[in-house]
Amino acid sequence: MNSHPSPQKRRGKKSAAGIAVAILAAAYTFLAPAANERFGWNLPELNDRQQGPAVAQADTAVSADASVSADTARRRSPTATPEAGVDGDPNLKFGLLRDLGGERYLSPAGLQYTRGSAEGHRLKHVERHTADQPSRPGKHGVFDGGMPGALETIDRAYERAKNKQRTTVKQDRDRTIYTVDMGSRVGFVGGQSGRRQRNPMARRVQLVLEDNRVITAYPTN
Amino acid sequence: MSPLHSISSCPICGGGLCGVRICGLPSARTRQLIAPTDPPFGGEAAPSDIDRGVAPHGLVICDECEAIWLDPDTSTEHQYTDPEDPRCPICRDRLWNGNNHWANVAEIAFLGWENKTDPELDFVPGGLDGPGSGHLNMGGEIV
Repeated sequence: MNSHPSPQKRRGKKSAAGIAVAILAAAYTFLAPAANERFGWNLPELNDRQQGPAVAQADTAVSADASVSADTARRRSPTATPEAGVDGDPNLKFGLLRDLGGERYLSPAGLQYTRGSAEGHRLKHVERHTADQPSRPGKHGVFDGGMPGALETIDRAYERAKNKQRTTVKQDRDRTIYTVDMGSRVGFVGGQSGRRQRNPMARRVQLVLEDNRVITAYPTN
Repeated sequence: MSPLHSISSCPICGGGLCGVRICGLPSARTRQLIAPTDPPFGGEAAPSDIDRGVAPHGLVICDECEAIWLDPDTSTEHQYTDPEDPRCPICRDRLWNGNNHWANVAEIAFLGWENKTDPELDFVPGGLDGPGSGHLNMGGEIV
């Protein structure tokens, strides 16, 4: 008498288990974003290699000169092109932006960061959105990945907006306001309102431009 | 820095605070002309400088997209300023580092807008005790 299952039966059990795992994975992939939105959770994607929110617990001003090496930013950047002078160029601000002179910086996707805003420069304004401001009333969108991550995400959002991919557009005189669904997490919602909701993830980018000049950009849910 | 007191969230960009800003405040130079014995200035006077002054006035500005209202009703017409050289639409002073700042309670009362702000959107620096706390305690003298 043989109590061991036959090789065919073992293969059958293995393939049934494989199918079950595949069904569970598919269900998770489908349901996780909805659960995140509904309950404000931050369930990771199955292929998510991102780190959690980089929460700064203080409303600290950060320097626009804080930089990450060009290599780091190049590895991160799907939009960096040799035409933008990214490869091997240590002079790029945040490893991504070309200095046009007169405090103007050009991103690989064609966005310009110039003087302006309460902070004195649009880059410093964007940098506000790389750390939480827990005591700020209302919402405060925070990008993942610090300044290089924020600039990269904004560039990707602009590319998607230009290609009309999951983007809503509002034209208000010279200003264009894009809301771009990035399809996956790009940051989280902070501020007092975000804190009350346990800092839900953000997967959209709100991008306000005048021509190709960035006025503001921040993650939103 | 976030606005101290805001009218609403921004109806244009959705993420900004429509904060009350007071502009046209007397400069140190003008204060010196008005009260020349006040330290740290001396007694020199140039009355023509005073004539160039504009009375303090209120603006509502979104701290994200910089939409500007001249009235504390954000359903009214808004305007924009030059993004690279933002100026007050009334006195043309620099919008962010001129003789202006986010208004405090006393300044909002001076503008007559005290019932127009939303206490839920009050900014309490360093405070996490919940919205609205400090709304009545952030008084300050009109500079």
